[in-house]
Amino acid sequence: MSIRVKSCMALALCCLFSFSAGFVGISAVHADDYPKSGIGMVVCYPPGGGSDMLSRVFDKYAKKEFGHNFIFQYRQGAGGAIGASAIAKSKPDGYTIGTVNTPHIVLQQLTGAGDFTVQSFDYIAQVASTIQVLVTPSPSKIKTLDQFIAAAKENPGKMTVGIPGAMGSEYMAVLKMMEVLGIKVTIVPSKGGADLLAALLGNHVDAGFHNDVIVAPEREKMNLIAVAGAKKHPFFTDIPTFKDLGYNLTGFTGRIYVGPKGIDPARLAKLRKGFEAIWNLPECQNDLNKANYGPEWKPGEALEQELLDYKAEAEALLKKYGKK
Amino acid sequence: MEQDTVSLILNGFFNSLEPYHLVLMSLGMIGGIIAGALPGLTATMAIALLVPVTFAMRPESGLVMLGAIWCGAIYGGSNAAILLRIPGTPSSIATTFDGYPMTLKGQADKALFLGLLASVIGGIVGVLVLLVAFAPLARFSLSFSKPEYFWLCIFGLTSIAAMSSQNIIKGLLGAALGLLMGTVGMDPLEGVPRFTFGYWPLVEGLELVPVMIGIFAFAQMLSIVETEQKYIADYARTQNLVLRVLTEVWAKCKANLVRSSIIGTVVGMLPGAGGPVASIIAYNEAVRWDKDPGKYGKGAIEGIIASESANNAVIGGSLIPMMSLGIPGCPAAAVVMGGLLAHGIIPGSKLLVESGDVAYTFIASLVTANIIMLVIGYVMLKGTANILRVPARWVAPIILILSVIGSFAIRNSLLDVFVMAGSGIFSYLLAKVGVDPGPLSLGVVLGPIAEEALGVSLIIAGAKGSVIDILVFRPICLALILLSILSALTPMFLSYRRKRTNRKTGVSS
Repeated sequence: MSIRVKSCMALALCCLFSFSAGFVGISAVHADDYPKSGIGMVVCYPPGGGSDMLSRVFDKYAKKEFGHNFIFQYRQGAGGAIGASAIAKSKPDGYTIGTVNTPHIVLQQLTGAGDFTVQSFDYIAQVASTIQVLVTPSPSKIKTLDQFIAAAKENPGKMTVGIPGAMGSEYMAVLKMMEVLGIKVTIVPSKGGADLLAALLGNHVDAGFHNDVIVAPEREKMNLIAVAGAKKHPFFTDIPTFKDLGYNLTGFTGRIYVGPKGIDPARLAKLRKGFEAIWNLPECQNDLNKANYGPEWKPGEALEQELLDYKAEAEALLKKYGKK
Repeated sequence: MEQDTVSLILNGFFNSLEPYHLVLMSLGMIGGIIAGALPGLTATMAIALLVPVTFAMRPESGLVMLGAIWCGAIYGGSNAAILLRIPGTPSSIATTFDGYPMTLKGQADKALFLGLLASVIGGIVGVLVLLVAFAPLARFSLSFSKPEYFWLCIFGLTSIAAMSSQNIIKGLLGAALGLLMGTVGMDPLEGVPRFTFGYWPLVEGLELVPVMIGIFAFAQMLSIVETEQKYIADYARTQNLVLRVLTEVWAKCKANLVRSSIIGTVVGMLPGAGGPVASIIAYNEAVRWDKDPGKYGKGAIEGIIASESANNAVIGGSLIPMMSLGIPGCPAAAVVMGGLLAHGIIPGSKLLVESGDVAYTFIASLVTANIIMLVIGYVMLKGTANILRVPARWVAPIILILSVIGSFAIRNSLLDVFVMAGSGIFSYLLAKVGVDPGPLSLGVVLGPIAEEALGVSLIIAGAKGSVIDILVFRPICLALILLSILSALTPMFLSYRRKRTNRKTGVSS
């Protein structure tokens, strides 16, 4: 055959293939056969980190619950904002979900780091939460909250309190702490959890507001002052909460699963039920506890309103401290 | 060391010699070397991609494989750096300075084997230091805080003076432009976007790896295409390669090897510094201590030795804070830590007490892996050097395609491809006016670290009321400041002295 005929045939075959491929996409939205293939799991943080490992735990049981394992995609950057935006902008067909942290997504919207709003997502559920703890380095003379408040009041603005990262839930929590305790401290940012841990172990900051997951393995090397939780912390049963000591302060980071807004309600319900079923498995609870994730369930339906409430509070705090 | 530590180490070593582990290490090594050699795949990415594969294995087997991949990838970066002047991983930037000139002189296989030898020795030194002294060294690494990191980066930046003794102004210009490029993205202190000009996807800044690929690979291929040369470089096989290299290294480079490996281990144990910083500082020190610093940048074997031994020593060094404090010394160590966590093993002060057998098997396996690397690496380099036999008109487009794929693959972002191309064209144009990519890359790598460190130091200084106290009057800071001054002034002083002697003897400079 001549070249011309051959190339026409090739072109025709290509058109045929792409045409038929189009049909595959037009599948009726039946909740019964969803998911037909692996659901895409967008991890907004670098591989090997906390969010990755958490999702791997769920992936272990995903095959049983959803029929397929997740397909992992890493979109790290900007403290999770890049990945969160990717999720918000993806097609709401139930085949793209991801793990984000709250209230980071609220702050990212407020500072312009994120290209989305709280209402850009459909919320599946919260599966774990990390609670913050106020600590001081081991050589510090400050071992109780009263001593901390006294030292801060004696030298307003001179005490350095480290936070993991720059603009995250811990930053807001320390702002709130200054309000509630009536003190003024200097907030020192860091590059992340490990960076702040090094600063605390090396006695480079006067105090730190850090996550329980990171503090727990090295707790003998620091003084734990108070826990910012609603009730006594399972890892630190001997440490009082701010509430116990009379101060209304809670600070936590919630690990949640979301999808873009507009997922078919039947599919969203299936996702929510599926995650709940996995979460309730004793093996899953065991895995989460072994890795020091505090499992805490919050159904997706309640999350959106909770985050909107937080946003209002955060906006006010940021304006007060001149950050907006 | 107590008795059971010694027996744990020995046990770990024998565990690593299990046939299954040897197979895993070999496979991991080959994969790691290839991943490291390909621009766009870094050691960290290669390890991260294979962490899930290790979930089904026993913890120690998984770690053994990851460790082999890590060693292989850091070594592998030298291959592309030497043959094509493209750092396969950011840790090999300093290898391009003398590796590529050696290739141009027709000594590619010698350069490759030097890189291999240096990598193996540096890697083993790093692990040995880890085994012997990790507890006191971990405590030492904690004494480094933001002010010390700032001066460490300044010290690294002074190596520009060593690199561009021909024209220091152009070197400084390149570094300044690199620093500027590093400021795009999130402000490290405020957490708000900056220099994104409203284009939201730039909020994370210019990713390091696409910029590296751009300023080295893309720009390099553009100039090769421009010169229309037939081959990248002439390649003639060196006779008795192994023997010649070994005798030369033993004669001339013993001190260099030891010094660079120690530098690599020390910088490796400082969390947040890593391979690029270590190899650049080691290179700089090699230049400073040499009687004939003018030979660097033209194909000096000492340059390759310094860079490659330092970057492999970082592996052992970065495990020091991870094993004892749970703080990874570099991004690759962070991924390995994630792999440990997935098996329920928590790195930190409890690691050696609770999971000593796993930990020591892993560490000991790094020694075994380096020895295997000597064999596998040697076999592979015979093959990779042949890339020089391929005509340039095939190599250039293939590298360009790999650059695009590599930049995209990092986080599935087309923006990274445009960043790569943009940086590449920028670097190509800069090269035309005599600004090399070396100082540019230094600025991009060290700038963000230095800025965050300086910013946090100033915040603390503001709280404590004295900048001098926080930033200057600390022992390690003072030492680094002194080293930086020496490092910046020595090349200038030496070239001034050379010009004076030339003038005296009537030789035109």
